[in-house]
Amino acid sequence: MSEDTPKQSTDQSDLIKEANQLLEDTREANQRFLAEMEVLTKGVEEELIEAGKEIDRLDVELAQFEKEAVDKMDAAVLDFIAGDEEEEE
Amino acid sequence: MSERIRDRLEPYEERIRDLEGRIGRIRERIENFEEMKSRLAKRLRELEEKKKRAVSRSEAKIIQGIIEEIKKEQKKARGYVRQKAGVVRRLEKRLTRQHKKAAPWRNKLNEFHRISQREVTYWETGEREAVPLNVERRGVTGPKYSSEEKAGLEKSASYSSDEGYERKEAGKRLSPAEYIKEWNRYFGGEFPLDPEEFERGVKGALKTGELESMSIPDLENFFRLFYGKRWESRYLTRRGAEKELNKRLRSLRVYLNA
Repeated sequence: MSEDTPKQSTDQSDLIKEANQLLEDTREANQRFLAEMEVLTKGVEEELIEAGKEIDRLDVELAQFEKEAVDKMDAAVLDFIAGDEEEEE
Repeated sequence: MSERIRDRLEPYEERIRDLEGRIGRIRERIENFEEMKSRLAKRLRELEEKKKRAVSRSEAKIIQGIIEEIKKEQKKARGYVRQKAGVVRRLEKRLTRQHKKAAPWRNKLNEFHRISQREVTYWETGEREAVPLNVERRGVTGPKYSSEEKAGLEKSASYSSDEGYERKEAGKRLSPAEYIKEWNRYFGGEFPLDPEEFERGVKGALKTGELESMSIPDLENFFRLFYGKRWESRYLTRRGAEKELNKRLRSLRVYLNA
């Protein structure tokens, strides 16, 4: 292992090159994963916040609409009953 | 009213479905990264093998240094996966909460749909002839039996009770199309289905041209078989989907008096 021939020297550099390449690939895979996850999760988080606001708004709007509809139905029933009573009189 | 709820709820439901898809893609990305990690780990093992054949000590030392660096990166990667899997779980929980927030309106929509499909019978207007109630006291009498005759009667009574049990087991029977029509009557607002398509599916599965009416449990099984996947796709977890489907099938059974 002490004396390196020209052929061995080429082999050595190839192996180191391969090791360096693997290190680079590993780092790159990590960085790409982190970057992609950052974009993907951020997008979903923002969308979730928006969806939360939407359902809260929807909840209020539909509750209000439900109340109005029920009030109208009550009024119609009361009118109907009042009409009946008038007829009886 | 139900139209208004449906119009307002549908875009929201669409948004939730889109989010489910996006979270699914994040999960897929994590899985891909895991695969990538495995490939890199394999390459590292090969490199370690090659290192043993290193021609000089200095080369071996350099490669060992690089391998240590790679291992550090791999450790970081494991941490990233754990951390991001946690993020996905949190996102899924938040999405489930959002999904639940819409549940009361979804239920109301179903209920409105059910009521609107119900047949309404109006009472006849005008005077109705009063039917006098039969309040006449009826005497309960019967023939007198000897002990042998009584034993014979008990035997026949138990036989008829068996028959009664069998009748109860058989329960209500419907054709597949009728069953889906009933489903649509109650839950069509949420999950409308084509009765003819279901009938064709059941006929195909049973390899029969003519189909007689079937028991409700059999129809439920076919329902799960044909629409289970489609139903599940609307929920985050299979367990949640199953729970919700069971709830509706049970309700339908009650509505059908089966």
